[in-house]
Amino acid sequence: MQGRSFWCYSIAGLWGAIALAAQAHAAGPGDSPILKRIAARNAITIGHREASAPYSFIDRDQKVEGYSIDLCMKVVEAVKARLEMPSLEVKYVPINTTNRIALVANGTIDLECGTTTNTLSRQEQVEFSPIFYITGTQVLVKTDNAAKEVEDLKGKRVAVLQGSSNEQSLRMLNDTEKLGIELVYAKDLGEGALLVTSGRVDGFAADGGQIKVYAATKAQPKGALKVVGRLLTYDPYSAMMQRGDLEFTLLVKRAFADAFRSPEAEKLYAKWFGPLGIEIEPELKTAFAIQALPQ
Amino acid sequence: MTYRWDWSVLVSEPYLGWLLTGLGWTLLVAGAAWVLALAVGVTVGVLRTLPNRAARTFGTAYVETFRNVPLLLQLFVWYFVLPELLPAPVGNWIKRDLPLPEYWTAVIGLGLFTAARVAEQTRAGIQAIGRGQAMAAAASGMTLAQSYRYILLPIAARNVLPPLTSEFLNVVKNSSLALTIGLLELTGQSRQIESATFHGIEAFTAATLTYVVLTTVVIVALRAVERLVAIPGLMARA
Repeated sequence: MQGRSFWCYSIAGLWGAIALAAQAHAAGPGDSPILKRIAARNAITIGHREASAPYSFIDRDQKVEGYSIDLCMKVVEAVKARLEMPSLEVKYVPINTTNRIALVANGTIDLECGTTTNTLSRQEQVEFSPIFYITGTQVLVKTDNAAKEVEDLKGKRVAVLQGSSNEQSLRMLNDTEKLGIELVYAKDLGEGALLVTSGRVDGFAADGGQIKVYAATKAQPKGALKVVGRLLTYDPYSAMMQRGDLEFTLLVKRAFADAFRSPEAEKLYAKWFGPLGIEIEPELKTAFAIQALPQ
Repeated sequence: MTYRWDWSVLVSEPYLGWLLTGLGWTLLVAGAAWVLALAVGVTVGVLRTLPNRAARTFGTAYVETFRNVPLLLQLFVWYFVLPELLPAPVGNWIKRDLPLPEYWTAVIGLGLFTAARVAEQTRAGIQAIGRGQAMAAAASGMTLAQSYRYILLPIAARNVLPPLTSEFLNVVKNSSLALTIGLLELTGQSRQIESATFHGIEAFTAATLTYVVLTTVVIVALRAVERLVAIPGLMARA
């Protein structure tokens, strides 16, 4: 598998090099510390999630895959072209919500490609790529549940992911509207869904996109779970990188803008979400258009 | 490293409150689990040294079951699997009506796991005494229960105080696994702070130091107990 992906990326990199040769930006690492270290290691390190399908996950063949990963590959191609290193190796480091910031900040990872919400307070620690996915907090419930909004779960037990933005928003709503919802803390998406399926909780508040994918692919029996409610939060996903490297940040912005414009990003969206019956939402389409800055 | 340090996050609201709540849960889980572990562990340990074969078999089965399965897995079984195996009304009661289900599951899971280890310490403590004492007790007319109550257990307890101290430390540290079933104890709360502020290194440092302080207190306290209950001349002391 290592060999195959190596050749895939080499060939992809070659095409990227040809495509970008016409635009001919400054070649070489310049004064970018990240590009310098990539060139020195002859490898770019991508941080990925292990089970956040279809964004960033390890598939059955133990290959790192997903929508976020495919978009990051656009950046990898741009780095290869920039450094004129078509055989640049791509290394993968699995990350989780606990270690991702430290690994990006200390330089272990050059680019984090997962499901990280881009927030201003996080920008104090890391730099973010343009926004490539938009979601918000919604609620996963059993199909036979009559609740239409989170308010209908008044006084019930609702699961949230530990330390998620969903949890913070639900706790605030709970306090301001005096809903008396009892929060139950789940470790990951699968566990949160299991809490709903086993009846321990009545709902599971998480990123709408992710629970929709879960309901579409993993509900047992099929159709047993559904996603309800308006978007309680605004959660834009971005890739993370080390802060303070303007050159590298510009390269990433350029790669994403190209993908948004071409419209390679929309094709990737269709590739990963189409099979799940999820169509691209107008907000995301608009975000692509707005972020597709001209050259 | 481009990490921006900000230690003030640890003393600012609401994060200081989160850490203190976490510390509170750690103490509550570790304390209750330790009481359970001592009660069950000493009982099972004694069972393993009794002349009665059925009692010994039961004790061995208990120890091997709880000692040979990872604690993390045991917590998942208690939390997710057990309610499904029980009759529906009981299972539903555990899932819906039991107050603080995560807390009690953590206490039982951690307590019963540690009990297996305490049982082994107890058995070793009793067996280390040698047969002479038990025979002397029998010869002076004591029943089996009396020989345990007045001779074997008091000596065994002093024998095993140092290894029991280690087990107590393990309970404190293992209580962090309770976060996997949703109990936000010290480690869980520092992860919460990490996610909320992205200042994870500060939060984890605070948690680490708190654990060190907690375990040091346990060590000092149990050392004092060791000195207090020592019988002069009975045991070689360093």
